[in-house]
Amino acid sequence: MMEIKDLRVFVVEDNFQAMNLVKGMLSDLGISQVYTAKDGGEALSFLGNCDDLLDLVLCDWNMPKLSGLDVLRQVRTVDPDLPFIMITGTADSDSVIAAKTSGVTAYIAKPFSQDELKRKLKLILRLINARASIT
Amino acid sequence: MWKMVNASVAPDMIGNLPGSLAEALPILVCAITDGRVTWINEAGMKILGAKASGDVVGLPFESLLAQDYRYLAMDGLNDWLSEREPLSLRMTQLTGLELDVEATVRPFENGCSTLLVAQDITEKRRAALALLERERRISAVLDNVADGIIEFDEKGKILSFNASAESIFGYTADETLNTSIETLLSKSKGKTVEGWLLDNGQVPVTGSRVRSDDLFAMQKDGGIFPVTFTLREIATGSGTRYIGAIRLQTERETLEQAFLDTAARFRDLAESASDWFWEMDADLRFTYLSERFSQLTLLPSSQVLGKTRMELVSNTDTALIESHLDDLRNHRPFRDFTYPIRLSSGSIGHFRVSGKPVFDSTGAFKGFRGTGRDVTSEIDAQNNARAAESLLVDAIESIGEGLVIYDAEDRLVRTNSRYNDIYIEVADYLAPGLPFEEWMQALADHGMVVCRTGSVEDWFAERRKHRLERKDSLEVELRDGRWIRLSERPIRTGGTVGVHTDITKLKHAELTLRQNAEQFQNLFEGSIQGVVIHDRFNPLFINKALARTFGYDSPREVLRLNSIEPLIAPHELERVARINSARIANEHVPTHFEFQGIRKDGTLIWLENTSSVIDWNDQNVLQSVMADITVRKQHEQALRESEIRLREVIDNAPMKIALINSEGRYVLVNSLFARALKQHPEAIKGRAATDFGSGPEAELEAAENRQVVETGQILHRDLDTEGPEGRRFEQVTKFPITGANGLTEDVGVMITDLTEQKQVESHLRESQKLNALGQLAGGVAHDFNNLLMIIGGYAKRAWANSEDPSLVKSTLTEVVTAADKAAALTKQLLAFGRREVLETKVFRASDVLHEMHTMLHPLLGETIELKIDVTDETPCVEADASRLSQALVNLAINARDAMPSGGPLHIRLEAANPSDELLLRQGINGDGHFMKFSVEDKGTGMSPGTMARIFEPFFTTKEQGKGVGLGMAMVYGFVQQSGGVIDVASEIGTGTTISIFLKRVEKQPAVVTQLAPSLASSSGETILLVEDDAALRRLAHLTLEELGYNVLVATDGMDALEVEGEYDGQIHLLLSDVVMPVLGGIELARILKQTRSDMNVILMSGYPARGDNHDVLEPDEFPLLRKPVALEALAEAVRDSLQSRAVNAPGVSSANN
Repeated sequence: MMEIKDLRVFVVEDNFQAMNLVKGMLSDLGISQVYTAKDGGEALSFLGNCDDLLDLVLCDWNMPKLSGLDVLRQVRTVDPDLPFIMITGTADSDSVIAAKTSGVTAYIAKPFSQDELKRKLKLILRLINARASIT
Repeated sequence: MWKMVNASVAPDMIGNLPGSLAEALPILVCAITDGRVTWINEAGMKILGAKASGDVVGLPFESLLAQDYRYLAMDGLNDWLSEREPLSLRMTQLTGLELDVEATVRPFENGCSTLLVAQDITEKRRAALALLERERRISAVLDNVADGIIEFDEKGKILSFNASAESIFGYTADETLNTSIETLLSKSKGKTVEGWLLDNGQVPVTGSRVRSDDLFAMQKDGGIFPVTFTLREIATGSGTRYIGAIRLQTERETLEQAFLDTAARFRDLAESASDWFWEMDADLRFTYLSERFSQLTLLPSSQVLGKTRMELVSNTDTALIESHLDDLRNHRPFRDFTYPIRLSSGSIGHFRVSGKPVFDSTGAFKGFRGTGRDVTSEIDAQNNARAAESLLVDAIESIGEGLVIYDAEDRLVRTNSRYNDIYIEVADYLAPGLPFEEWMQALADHGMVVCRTGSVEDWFAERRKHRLERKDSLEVELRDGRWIRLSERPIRTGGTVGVHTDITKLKHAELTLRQNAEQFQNLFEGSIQGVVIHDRFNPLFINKALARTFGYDSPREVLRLNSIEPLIAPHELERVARINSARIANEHVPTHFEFQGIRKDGTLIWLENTSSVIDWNDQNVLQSVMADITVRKQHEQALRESEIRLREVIDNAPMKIALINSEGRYVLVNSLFARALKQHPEAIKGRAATDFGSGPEAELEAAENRQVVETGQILHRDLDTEGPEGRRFEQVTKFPITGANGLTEDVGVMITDLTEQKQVESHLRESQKLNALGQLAGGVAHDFNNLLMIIGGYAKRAWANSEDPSLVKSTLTEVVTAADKAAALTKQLLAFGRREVLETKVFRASDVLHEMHTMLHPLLGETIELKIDVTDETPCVEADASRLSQALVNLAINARDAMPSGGPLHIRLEAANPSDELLLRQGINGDGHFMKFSVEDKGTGMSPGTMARIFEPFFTTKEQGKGVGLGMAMVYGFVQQSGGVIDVASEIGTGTTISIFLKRVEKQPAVVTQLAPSLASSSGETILLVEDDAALRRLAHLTLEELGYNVLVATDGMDALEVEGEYDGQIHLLLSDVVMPVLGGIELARILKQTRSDMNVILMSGYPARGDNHDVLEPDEFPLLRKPVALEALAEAVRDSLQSRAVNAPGVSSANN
């Protein structure tokens, strides 16, 4: 069974401070395998080459050029099951529906606490472990 | 004896000579006083032509001089006294004849008179002139000699070089003079100059006076050529000389050049020294020598006086000396004794002396007196002239041709021995002075000449004409078969020199050559192939075809190039030369080869060359036959390019292509084909097709190939394979390839991958379905609105009359009926909208038609009278019912569109079998019975052309925007997939009937149990409700809570996971929608079952189970409720589920969990 500390997490965040915050939280949760990208383009080029390195993508919704939704759609063309948590600030219902139909795994709204993040990670971890045991 | 002419002037002494001595001199001695001759000696009288001294004495001396010389004596002779050298004068005889003299003047009688001593040199000058004349004549001869004549001394130093030599060697005579003969001979080729010239350059002719050798000579520009060098040794007064006659071996033409003018070497003989006087005593010792002697010999008198003449003589010619001594001893007078004398300079001089014995009055011998003269120049000149003449004669003799010289009077001067040899039979006539005409007569008399006309006179005329015109040359045939070529040239001094050459061999060679040439003409000129005979590219023969091939006007134009190198492309030259050399050397090289040549206009052409070595005048040379193959080459190139292009096309074609010959071997495969066999294309070529497969497949292939070859017909086959890359659909086309003989030889195979096309078709089917759905929705909305109006109307009525229970009940009954109808309608729509063939199932054929009625009515509109006839309700078919409905809807819509203003539309279901022809055409096994669904309209009908195409994708007769032309294609696809047959019958203006035949099956459809419409109560179990549709979620939530269940609500799968995770109590039932993003109901159920194994599950779906990874239900895994679900049905299902749970898994077990 995989534990939280075993998760390999890819964080996509254009805001430098927010990125540091997320990294700090992940570190506190004992997660050491953290990969980062500071925009959508960088994220896609990393994802295109990472094979099965990742367990989870934590991606900011609102980024210039390629948005979190764009990244999600790209990820889904390659991997329909990779857990994908969208970090949202403000989002209208249409966007949420679009994200849902595009296959977002979960949302986490800014600002979020470490506990909230931990809960989402546990949820994802459950999905991962359940799928692993079924297959 | 003194002959005294005038006593008063009779001198006893003349100068310091006794008067008697003067009388004895053979020269003119006269005394002149006051300008008149006062005395003259006897010899002087003779010289002047006087009979007596009186004829001269008393005459003014001036009158004895020739007119031009008289001015010299006008002022007396005193001026002459100072002259040390003898004066050249011209005197005039009394007869008026002039004569040349050398005169010396001395004072006489204490200066009162003058003594003049003069010697007649007229004869001497004439002799010298004659000698010069002779030399000139011989020089002229040599000027006409074609041979180069070189004279050189024993050191090899060149002394003369004639005009022919100049033209042969390219040097001017001046350039070669005093250089070594070695410079003219090649040291690197042929017989070297070694053996000819010794190391010190001396010519070793010793032993034979004439030698002749073939050597290589070298021109000024370095050119080397073979010559015959004839060398003749000649001894001359000044040492040994060599005359070399150079003849170009290759040159047999004219003899034009003459000997170099050697005159420069000859000194003027005209002048010689004056005389001196001498006296010797009875002992024959000199007692007196005049001053002149010392001047000439540079010997002081004192050294000579007292010596005998013999002591002065350097010659050892004792015979001559003895004869002279004999004269002296016997006191005989002597004349012109010439002897050599060593001069003080060391050189040899020649003196000529005359003398007379002197006796005293008693008659006793007192000695000799006389004069002496230096004749060194004369003797040298004579020697030289003799040498020159002999040299020229030798040169003439050394010439290989016959040479004949006539003087200006056309009398024979000289012939050489070769000339005499030519005319040996009449050589006796050839004496100097023979007139030319007599010589001709002699030749004619002896029958030497061949007269072509038969008349000797004609021959004479021709011969004379040639002699006058002096044309290039004349070839004369002799009776004995010999041929003589003669060329005649004038000599500058008049006369003729003729060169006669025996050209018999040449003539015969020419004749042979001409015959050969005629053969060549026949052989080669008629040839359309170019022929060249050449010796290391030096062309010897060229035919017209060759000239034409290379764009030259004539063979002559090519021959003038002197080499065929310009015909060969520069980059080919080295290779062609190498092959040719090897061929000449008899090495093993191909006789045929191809090369590129250059035409005159510079264009490159391709030639095929065939060479053979032939003999040409005893030389091995090459005969090359060249054919212009440029066009062939171009065709080859074009063919190659075309092949490459075709190859590219084939290789890049998006299909597998192969060519198999009649033996079943691959002739050609493209890269796709090779890749499919996992081979390199080249590795496949030539191998049997059966090498790459075995079993029934390979046998089928081979049988097909045979069939194509035998029938010559194209064959198609579909291929459906399952490989590592998934399922692939391919179409195999085999076609015959006809060879040049008109028979099928090879089989072409093309395999087209239709997988993607199938996928596209599938997508298109989908879109067509949506299209049809859209059309349906429009029609359904109308019905729905009607129902809503009924529901809404009755609901309001019930609400308004809520106090009247019976009215409320009856109105609500209407509402419930309308709601049922609406539910049935949506169910039909959803069935139609299913995305894929789920599974074929067995169903009652009539059910489909009954279900369709509700749906079609609003779709077709009011103008269409829909009639559905079912003759037999019971038979079943096995197919996808929704696709069948869809197909029938499509047909119905087409029927509606065919009747724009309305009409009857008849849908039938009956038991009927398709015709055998239809079965065969659509490739369907006709065993068993069929059910026939037919859709008939009375519309516009179709033309046969339209009918033939209606099943093609995208074929439509509808106007833009009304249809995409996929409907019929989908129908056809469905029928085919279902193993059925489709038939079309139509006639323009009458209508169309389209029938679908499906196989009837004996199986019966699965029975669906209907739930009883009663609501069940709960025992307070906890239900996790997951539904992403908010309205449905709310309805279900309220219903279940009303029934007394504890309900946990989640908006989707992930939310459910979260809710479930936070709920610590027992969850008895998961009631979940199936289709949700990210985490669907099926997967959610499986995840939750991992930790809550006692939890029951009911899934609800408006769609059939989806085809993605996590949403496929295992058989009997979870019960599935079809939406829309009536609330009663839902309650019943929940109740049943929880009750079965209570039976099968008691609550205790869950508590322990």
